[in-house]
Amino acid sequence: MSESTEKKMVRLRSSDGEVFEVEESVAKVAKTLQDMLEEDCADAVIPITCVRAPILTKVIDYCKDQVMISSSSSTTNNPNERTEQERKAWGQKFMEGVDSSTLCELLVASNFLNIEGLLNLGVDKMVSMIQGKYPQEIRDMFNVVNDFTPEEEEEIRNQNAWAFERDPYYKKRSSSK
Amino acid sequence: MEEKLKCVVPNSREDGIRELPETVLLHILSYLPIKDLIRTSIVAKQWRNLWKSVPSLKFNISLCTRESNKQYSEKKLDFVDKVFKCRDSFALPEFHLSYSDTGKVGTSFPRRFKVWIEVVARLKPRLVDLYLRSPLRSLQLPTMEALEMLKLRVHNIGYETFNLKSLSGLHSLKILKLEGVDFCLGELSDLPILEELHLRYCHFVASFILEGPNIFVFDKLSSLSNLVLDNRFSRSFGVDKLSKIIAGCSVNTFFWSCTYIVWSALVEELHASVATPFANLKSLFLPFYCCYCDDYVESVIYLLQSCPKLEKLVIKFEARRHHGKNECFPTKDPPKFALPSLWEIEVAHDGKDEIQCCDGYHDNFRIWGTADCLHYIRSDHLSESPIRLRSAITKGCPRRPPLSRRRCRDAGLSLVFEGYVPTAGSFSEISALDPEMCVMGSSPTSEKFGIEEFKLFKDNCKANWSRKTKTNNY
Repeated sequence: MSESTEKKMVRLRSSDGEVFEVEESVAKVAKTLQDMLEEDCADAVIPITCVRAPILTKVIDYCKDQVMISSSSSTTNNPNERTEQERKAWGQKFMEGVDSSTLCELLVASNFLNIEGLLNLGVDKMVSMIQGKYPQEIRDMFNVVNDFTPEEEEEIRNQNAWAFERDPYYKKRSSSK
Repeated sequence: MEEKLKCVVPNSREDGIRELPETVLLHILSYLPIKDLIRTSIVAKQWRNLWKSVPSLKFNISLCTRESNKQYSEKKLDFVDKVFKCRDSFALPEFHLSYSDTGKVGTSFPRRFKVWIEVVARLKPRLVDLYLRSPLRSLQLPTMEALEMLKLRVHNIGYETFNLKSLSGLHSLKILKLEGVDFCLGELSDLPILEELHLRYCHFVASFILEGPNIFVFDKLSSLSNLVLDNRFSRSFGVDKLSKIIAGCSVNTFFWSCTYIVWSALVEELHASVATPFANLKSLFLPFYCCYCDDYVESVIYLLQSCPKLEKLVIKFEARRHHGKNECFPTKDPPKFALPSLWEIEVAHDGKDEIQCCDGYHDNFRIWGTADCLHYIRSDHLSESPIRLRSAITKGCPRRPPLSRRRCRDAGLSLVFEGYVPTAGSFSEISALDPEMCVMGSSPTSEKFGIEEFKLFKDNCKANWSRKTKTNNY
């Protein structure tokens, strides 16, 4: 415990009971926590009930980075300041190797903690995963069980046939063979 | 104790996507192309109706001649009808439509579009973004009280004009971006809280602003802070009116492109009319499209004189049509002025066509001229303020970096090489730079000097740098 150090610390408890101690400025990146801390209704240890320890670790990593960027950015010519491109590259690197279920948990966490930047990173990643995929591929990726009967599925397909059709070009080409 | 937090996230539970709050899922889905979006309806029962309530709809309809199969075109349009039928009761914050019909096959489009926009208007949109390349020649917008941003880009085929009939009923509008559209300028006074106005290729309107009597419209736009006038191919400029607009609305960001005009003459005219026409200006964007003038440094300096509060300056050169002599430095003593708040300058140079038809001296001079202009501003007119130079030089142009080593170091500039094809030699001059200030931008595609070489160069810099500075952050 480090009560008398110059930086105020905040303790967070994940859903599986692990306690993390972070600087207050890091915790405040999360708007939900910021509100709690400012209204002074935070207990000694803040329970974050819907987020597991490994996810919370990742979230804290993100928050720390945000603090690092913003700490000295009030003046110009900050070496930590990033251009649009660098920010993009950083975001990609941060999300690299995150699998689908971790991604979902990250989204839940950033939504709950109200961290807009992280939420957007997750959404971007998710979109890039889903885009251009067939329903079956999406089911496989996220372990979703198809709870439609074949008849129901067929019915929905027929309702919006156009979206399920292949491009007429392909059709033309294959039929002209 | 924070060190122990760094661990790899292991594989986790299975229920994943089902845990996601619906708002998040909808947010994700709203980024999907419409076809992908509808396909998600058969993933599982939870997903079945999600697509009907996404907060943003994007249609991208392109009927080109190759697909001139009429039936197919109509089917595409039918589809949009169907989507709207499903949506009826959900609010729709964002609506994007890009419609392109080069084969003139979508004959039913004008009729359908009218219906669509009526439906959208009922769904209380906050953003409407339309791109039209269609037989439609005029548009009457329905009342949309909640609309904050309207983007309307029209691709005119031939010299036909596109008329926007009404802007009344858009009382919440803050941002208006029009491209290739003509409308009655008086309509603008119905937009009490407008903050941004972009007029691109609105030739009729632009000439009306600058020459006609309708200048008084701008007096009513007291909240206007961001003005873009981009009429690359229009010759007419009544500069005195322009300065009155800028001063009258307290515009602080101004994008002004001009073509086919002698720049310095224009700026002098400006000065003759008002002493400091851009007194409140904070950002100035000056893209030069194939300008003929040689004395642009002088012009820029003249112009900067009238922007005492300037914080950001972007100059873009496109030297393609340049012909003339190479004297670009002010010959006489340039006037004195101060830019105490300036902190960011971006200079972009596009010399891609120039390179074939001119010698090395010629294609360098613009960069050197520009850089000199910057150096000149820095040394004489900026007290202590550091400039952050982003020099975006496009491919193939200079063989030397835009600023010499000494200048960069003195000014504390950071250099960004964007699309710049450096040779190994080009860095020898700036090797004393702080390596962290050098950033390789997009497309470093030189055979001689690729990313590897850039790394090497940076390492070199690092070695030099750490020898010089005792406090090394990295």
